[in-house]
Amino acid sequence: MSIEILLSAIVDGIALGFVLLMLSLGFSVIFGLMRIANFAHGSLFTLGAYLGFEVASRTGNIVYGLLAASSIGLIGLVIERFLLKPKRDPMMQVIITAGLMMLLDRLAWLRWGDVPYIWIPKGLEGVVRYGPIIMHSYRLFIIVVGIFISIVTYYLFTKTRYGLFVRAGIDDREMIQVFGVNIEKIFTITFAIGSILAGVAGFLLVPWQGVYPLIGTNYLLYAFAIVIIGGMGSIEGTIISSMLVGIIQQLCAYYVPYLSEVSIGIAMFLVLIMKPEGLLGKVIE
Amino acid sequence: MLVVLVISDLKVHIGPLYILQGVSFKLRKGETFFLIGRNGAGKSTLLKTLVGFIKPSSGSIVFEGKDITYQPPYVRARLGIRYVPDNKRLFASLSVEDNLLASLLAEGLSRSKAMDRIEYVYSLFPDLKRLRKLKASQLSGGQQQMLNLARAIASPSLKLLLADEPVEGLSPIFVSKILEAFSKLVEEGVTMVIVETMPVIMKKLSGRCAILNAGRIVFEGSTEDLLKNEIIMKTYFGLA
Ligand SMILES: Nc1ncnc2c1ncn2[C@@H]1O[C@H](COP(=O)(O)OP(=O)(O)O)[C@@H](O)[C@H]1O
Ligand SMILES: [Mg+2]
Repeated sequence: MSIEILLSAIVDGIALGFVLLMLSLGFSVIFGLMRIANFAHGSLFTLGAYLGFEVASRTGNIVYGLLAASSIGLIGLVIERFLLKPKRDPMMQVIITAGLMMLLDRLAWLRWGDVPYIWIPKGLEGVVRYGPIIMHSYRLFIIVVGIFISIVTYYLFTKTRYGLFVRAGIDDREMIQVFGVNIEKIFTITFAIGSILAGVAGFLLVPWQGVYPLIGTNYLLYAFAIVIIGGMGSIEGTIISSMLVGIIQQLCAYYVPYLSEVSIGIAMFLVLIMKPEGLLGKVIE
Repeated sequence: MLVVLVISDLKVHIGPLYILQGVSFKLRKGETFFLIGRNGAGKSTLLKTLVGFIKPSSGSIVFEGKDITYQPPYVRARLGIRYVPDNKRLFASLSVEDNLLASLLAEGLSRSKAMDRIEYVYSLFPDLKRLRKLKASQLSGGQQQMLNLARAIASPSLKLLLADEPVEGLSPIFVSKILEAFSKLVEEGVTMVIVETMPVIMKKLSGRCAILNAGRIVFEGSTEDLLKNEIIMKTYFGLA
């Protein structure tokens, strides 16, 4: 077990951690604020990946790909405004989001088929060597973009007026309304922001792992584990546990590939047994 | 004097339960109105209906001439109605200061205006200034209740305050701090509905009061009348 491989695995784990963070943060905040387990969240990740892929592979420009993937926010907006808003009933929302998951994943399969698509931006195909450590350029690129998006998102949720309402609403979404917040508006914006993050995360993974119809729904299982480990609706908890899950997953992929999926399950159960509300979570009634 | 709140024949059902069975009263501007009654009489339900958490099955709520019976809570808030819930319901993961800031930004104030109001609140409750960086969940029960009240009275557009058992379970030191804040609100002409289970605030501020029993108002009068009535004092407060 060489230290070089260990370090490469950790770098890859951090890169995956940022992708997972973008996927999980929206999922976690939507759950914390709106009490919706959005089963379609992974499908938005997949759609973002396909849309970004189509645009980026045609234009050869990753920036256009990222913009195309962000347009998933509009789809999120439409889903929230026209499907979820009319009936705020927990059971209906499970049925609607689970139905959307099946529908969207199936539509992706009809349009693109089973074959994974991959596209790698020019100049980021190779590896970077730092002494004896070998790192894939593109995975470093994910880390750079991930840091940038995380800072913007963290700022949004901790420093802005909107973010303050979201965090107050996660604590008590009824009480924030009696001071003058139109919570319905906050719900819709939050769902759209979560969808943008999911779409961008999906596209960022294309040059590394490609895109296929079930990729997002597969990764949604990781997002479930992440919010359970980090604590439902906790922004800091989601950051920490995304990195943790990303690194555990990649260490296993390097050393014990057959454990890479099971390991996340084990981490999740350990947290559930020792701290059921998650590392930084609070008890949700 | 100007009538600000008119409640007419308000009926509330929760599932199969018939909780408010036709409640009516009027409040004039600047009036303090005490609601008393046994546990389960419907006092908290009445306040929740007035803030908009519960939709009545019939009847109406008119505030400053506007029918708000079916308006969402945020619209009522923007008309100047504030609520002090009985179980505190602070934004537990936010700091004391962010609790105040969130409440003030919520009504659309600018940050600088909100900070001015927070300074004003700190002048009323200096303890909160000292504790401003702590999370609300780290405060003691009495401190939490101060913040619960502070959050509602911070608003510069406060017109009607609905307070549910604001001094319940507090030590005498906290009770006197909260009483002082209420006296100040009276001076400022804020209209108030206060739910009490012990005649603590009632003895300090005079006003009108009503007894709610099984979802109906069974007595209405001045606080002086009520405090003199031995039978009522014995029945509702266990005091003679
Ligand atoms: N959410 C609810 N579900 C069922 N019953 C309720 C609910 N809220 C209040 N009640 C019932 O309504 C009645 C009035 O309650 P409440 O308004 O809290 O009384 P008070 O504040 O006067 O003690 C009680 O009998 C209580 O059990
Ligand atoms: Mg009560």
